[in-house]
Amino acid sequence: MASVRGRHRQLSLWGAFATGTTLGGAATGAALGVLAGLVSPVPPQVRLVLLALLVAALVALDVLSARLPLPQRSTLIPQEVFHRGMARGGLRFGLEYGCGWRTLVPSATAYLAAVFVLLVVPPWWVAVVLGAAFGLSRSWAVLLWIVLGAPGWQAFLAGHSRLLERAGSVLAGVLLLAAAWARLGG
Amino acid sequence: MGGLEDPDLPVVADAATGIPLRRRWAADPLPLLLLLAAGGLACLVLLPVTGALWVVPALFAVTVSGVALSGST
Repeated sequence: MASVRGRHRQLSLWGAFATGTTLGGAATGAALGVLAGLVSPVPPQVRLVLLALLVAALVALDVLSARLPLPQRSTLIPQEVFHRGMARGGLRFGLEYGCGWRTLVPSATAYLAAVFVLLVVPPWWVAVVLGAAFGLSRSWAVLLWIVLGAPGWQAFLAGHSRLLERAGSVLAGVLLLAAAWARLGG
Repeated sequence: MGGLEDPDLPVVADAATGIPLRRRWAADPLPLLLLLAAGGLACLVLLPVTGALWVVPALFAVTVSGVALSGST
């Protein structure tokens, strides 16, 4: 972590960051859960077919394109969020990063999770839990870096980040379709 | 996390740092992603994913999604 030295302080900052990403993801999950109510009158079989088509299209797009050509906010989270203290900044950075739409989204996985919640129409609390799990897991790479990282970590990761993003799309797509089948088609 | 990597640390080739490849991969999100996906797929095979249990593969899936995006931190 940039100017944060010492594992204990880095872990404290990660705690604030992970809290932020979890809350940000949960907020997006809640919003999608509410929006999903608008889709609930559509018959489950129709929603399942629509979801399968969208998942296939999104995964194909991610696998076949060098950069994801989907609408997204193409700005980075400003470093000014850290001006009011590292812990507060970590929390705010996490909120914006974990919500999944406030900054760059280099993989289709966020879109896959969103269309899943919208079309499966889960109970509101499941939408919140799914969003929170998504947000929390977005903080794990930083934790890995704090615990096991070494100089050159970012350069090593950058060498296969697109593989990571594409593998995530394919595997998340398979798991989401199976879950949707169990919910809507089973 | 943008800017969390120490800017003072020079980016050098792995051979020069002497950092073993095994340690590189241990700190990488890709093995974790594959492990989570394997867990999710094992659930599909081993558990009768019906009724309320549809949430289990969905949780694995959104976690895989988040880890896939975590590399851009």
